[in-house]
Formats: sequence, structure tokens, C-alpha cells
Amino acid sequence: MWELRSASFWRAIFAEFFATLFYVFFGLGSSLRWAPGPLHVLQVALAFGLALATLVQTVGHISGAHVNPAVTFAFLVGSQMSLLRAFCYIAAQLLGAVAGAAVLYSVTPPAVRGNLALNTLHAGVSVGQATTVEIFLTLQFVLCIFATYDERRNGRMGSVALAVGFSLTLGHLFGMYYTGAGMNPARSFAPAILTRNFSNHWVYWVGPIIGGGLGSLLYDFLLFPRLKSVSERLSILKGARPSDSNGQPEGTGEPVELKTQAL
Amino acid sequence: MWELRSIAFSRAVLAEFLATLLFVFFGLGSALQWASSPPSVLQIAVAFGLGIGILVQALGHVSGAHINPAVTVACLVGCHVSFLRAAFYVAAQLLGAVAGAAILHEITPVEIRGDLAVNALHNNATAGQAVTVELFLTMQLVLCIFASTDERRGDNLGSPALSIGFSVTLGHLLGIYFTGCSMNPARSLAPAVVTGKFDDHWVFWIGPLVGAIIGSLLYNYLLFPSAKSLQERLAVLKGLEPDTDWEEREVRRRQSVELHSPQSLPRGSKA
Repeated sequence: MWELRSASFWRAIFAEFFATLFYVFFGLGSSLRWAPGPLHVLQVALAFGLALATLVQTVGHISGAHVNPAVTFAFLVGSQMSLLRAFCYIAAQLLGAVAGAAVLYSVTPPAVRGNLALNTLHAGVSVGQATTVEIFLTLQFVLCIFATYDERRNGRMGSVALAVGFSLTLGHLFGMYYTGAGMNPARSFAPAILTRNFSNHWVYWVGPIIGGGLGSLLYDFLLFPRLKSVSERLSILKGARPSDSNGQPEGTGEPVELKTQAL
Repeated sequence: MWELRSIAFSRAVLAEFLATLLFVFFGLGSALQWASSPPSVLQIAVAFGLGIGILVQALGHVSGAHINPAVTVACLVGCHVSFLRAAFYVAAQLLGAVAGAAILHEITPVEIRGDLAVNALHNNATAGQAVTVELFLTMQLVLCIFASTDERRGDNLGSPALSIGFSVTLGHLLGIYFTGCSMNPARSLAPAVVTGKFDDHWVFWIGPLVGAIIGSLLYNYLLFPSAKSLQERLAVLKGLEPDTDWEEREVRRRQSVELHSPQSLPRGSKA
């Protein structure tokens, strides 16, 4: 459990909490019914995408800026972080999301709150269809994240933050019509907690997690495989301390973080 | 007071004046209610964001392109600029903003001017709620600015100008509904001065300034703390002239305030 004694580990956890708080606050806030009439899908999609882009830019170098339990799960499946770290990230994300929704709830006039942009299935969309949509939304999102975060790519890649953000915007442009575009269990969990409405809530966990896992398997094992041995993968998952034969000082960057922070 | 004798300092202050003038001119201009085609929230948000993004690209290497008293205060709290520089920047920003609003006021038809997009509370939001929202809006902007211009980062920064611009767009996508979205005391002061409407004006100073300070403390002292000693921080704040021993530090300090290179960096290379 060397990670628990590392200052950068706790900074990363805090960064995930903080980033998810902001993500939910801005994303849900821009999705509320401020004016009568239909929701502006492009506007909301851009708000979510730009929120994530800003947060990737802001804390990407500190924690990897997952801001999403499905993304953390994907990195876990890809053996790029330890179980302990993944667990702590997800806990921080869920807490941060609920905190963000609570702040939004308290600053929003009662007439506008509505259901706090709760994810719901569009009329006529079955749970099977919705789950499939959520899988595809998160699959493309995770593929984009893995590709842009991949430290093995050496070319000029433009802006990692914008690529990830716009991938999320894409998901929302399509998914909002079907499911409200969850793509992120923490985002769906937060308003559900505050409004105590969990109808079909499982769709927003099963879909993104399957999508995230598939994206990870596709990229890391099929499209651009990493040549790691089983023992190497297991040691990463266990959170084994990286060999410091070069005497690298604590807190200046561990290999586990470098893999997720190679922005 | 070596900075006062520096040409680069004068150019930086002038750049802040010009940048804020242009920002307010285009930003407020995009928010005016033209009868033939009123702008949507998305349009206004993108206009403000692109305004900042383009000005950061154009003037970031000259002055750091703060364009915002709250950002300057954040840099002061983070010990990135001296008190003197901060004071001159804020003065230039406020003057530039008022100049921009005045120009816009003069060139706009009387029936279109309205209240010149002055910030005010909307949708029955209370002052407390508005301050809280402004705080969050500005905090995320400040965090994004520090992260985008941090010379200690060896990873791919992408385009800092675009990231910062989109951070402003993000703030507007939410903030417009609450307050018309300030995030910037100079932007709020400008139309208030020109139109004489100062209702709840304090909200647009307290919210952004508190948010900026918290953002600065979070980034510079908690999330990604630097290893500067107290003596080094005080030297920056006093604006002491760097001696030969501090040559390297001076370069690093300047880079942290001003964008060294807004273009993408090859992966793994240090700026």
C-alpha cells in the first residue's frame, strides 16, 4: 500500500473529486430548463464537452482527469492503474458528482430546478435499445481517450483536452435524443440521488461500463496492443511500487500516473 | 522599481488595455439584442470564448493576456506577478473595458443599445446564489489558465489559447442564465459605467475575485504546488530586479506568467 503514503496519490484523488464536482455542476446546470420550449441540444452538448475539455486541461497532468467511473474502469481493464487507485477514483468521482449536483441545486431558483437534468429514457426507447446506445456512446469516448492519452504516440497530436471534450460533445449530440446521454455513471447518479428517482438507473451503469470495457479491450489488445506480460499487468493492478533503481524522488511522477497522464 | 524602466513592461500594460478593449467591444457587441435576429445563448457564449481565445493567441506572449482583473489577482496570489505589475494591469483592464464599451455605445443605433448587455440577476436568482455561481465560473477559468500556461508541464498542452477560450465559453453557457455571466469585473464595470446601471454590481466583483483567489490557491498550493521558497515568492511580489544568479528563475517566472509558445509541443519535450 505504498500509494496511500504518496502525496501525489492523494492530490490525484482530490483532483478527481474536484473535477467531477465541476463537471456535474456545469453540465447539469446548462441542461436545466431555463427557458420554455425544447432544450438546445447543441448548446448542452457543447457545455458538457467544453466542461470536460477544460477539466482535462486543468487536472489531466495531476490525476489523468478521468472524471468518469466508466473511464476509470476502462483503464483498470487495460491494466494501467491499480485496483486501489481505481476504487479511490470512483469513490471520489461519485462523491464529487453528488456534491456538484447539491451545489447546483442550492444555487438554482426553485422554478428552474425541474428534475435537475436527470437522465431518462426517451418515450418509446426500450431499456435494451437504451443500453445499446449507452454502450456505443461510451465506446467511442473511451477509444478517443485511450488514443489521445497513449504515451507511445510520438507525433504532434494537437490538443488532448479538446479531442476528449469534443468526443463527449459528439456522444451528447446523438445520445441526448435517446437517453439524455449518460456516458458517465457519476453524472447519472448525482441527480438521481438528489431527486430520489432511480427509474431505469441501471441502464446508465451497465451501458457505460460495458462500453468502457469494450473500448479498452479494443484499443489495448486489438487495435494498438501493449506488449506487457501477465506478471507485469498483475503488478500494476496490485499497485506494486515501481522499481526506483534510478532513485527518482517521490512525487515527481510514478509510472502508473505517467501512463494515465501522458497528455 | 526596475519594471517601470522596462519597455517590455510598458508594452505589456498597453497590451492589457488593448486586449480588454477588444474583448469588451466584441463580447458586449455580440450580446446586443438586434430586432432582426436576437443572438442565442450559444452564440454569445462562443463569441466571448473566441474573443478571449484569439486575444490570448495574439497577445499572450506580450503580457500574458489576462484581460481580467480576477485573473491578475489570481496571478498575484500565486506569486507570478509583482504588486506593481498587478496594479498597472488592473488599471489598464478597467480603462480598456470602459473604452471598449464607450466605443460600442457610440457606434450602435440608439434603439439597439438597450442596457449594453450589462450584468444583472436573472431568473429570480438571489444575490447569494449569483455570487456562488460567479465564484464557480471564475474558479474553473483560473484553474484552466494556470494549467494551460504552466511551464513545468512536460506533457502536451495542445493550444492554451483554445483551451482558455473554451473555458470562457463554458462559463457563459451556464452563467448567462444566472447573471448574464461576468467572470470578469472589467467586463461588468464597463457597461455599468456607460449606462449608469449599478444594481447588484458588487456581485460581479466579489464572486469573480473570490473564485479567482480560491482557484489560484487550489492550483498553486494544493493540486500542483511549486517548490519556490518564501524568499523567492517575496522577490517576485516586490518586483525585485533579477540579478545574474536568478537568470534562470527569471526566465521560468516570465514563462509561467506569459505563454512561452501557444503552439503544440512535440510529445515529451520541455518548453
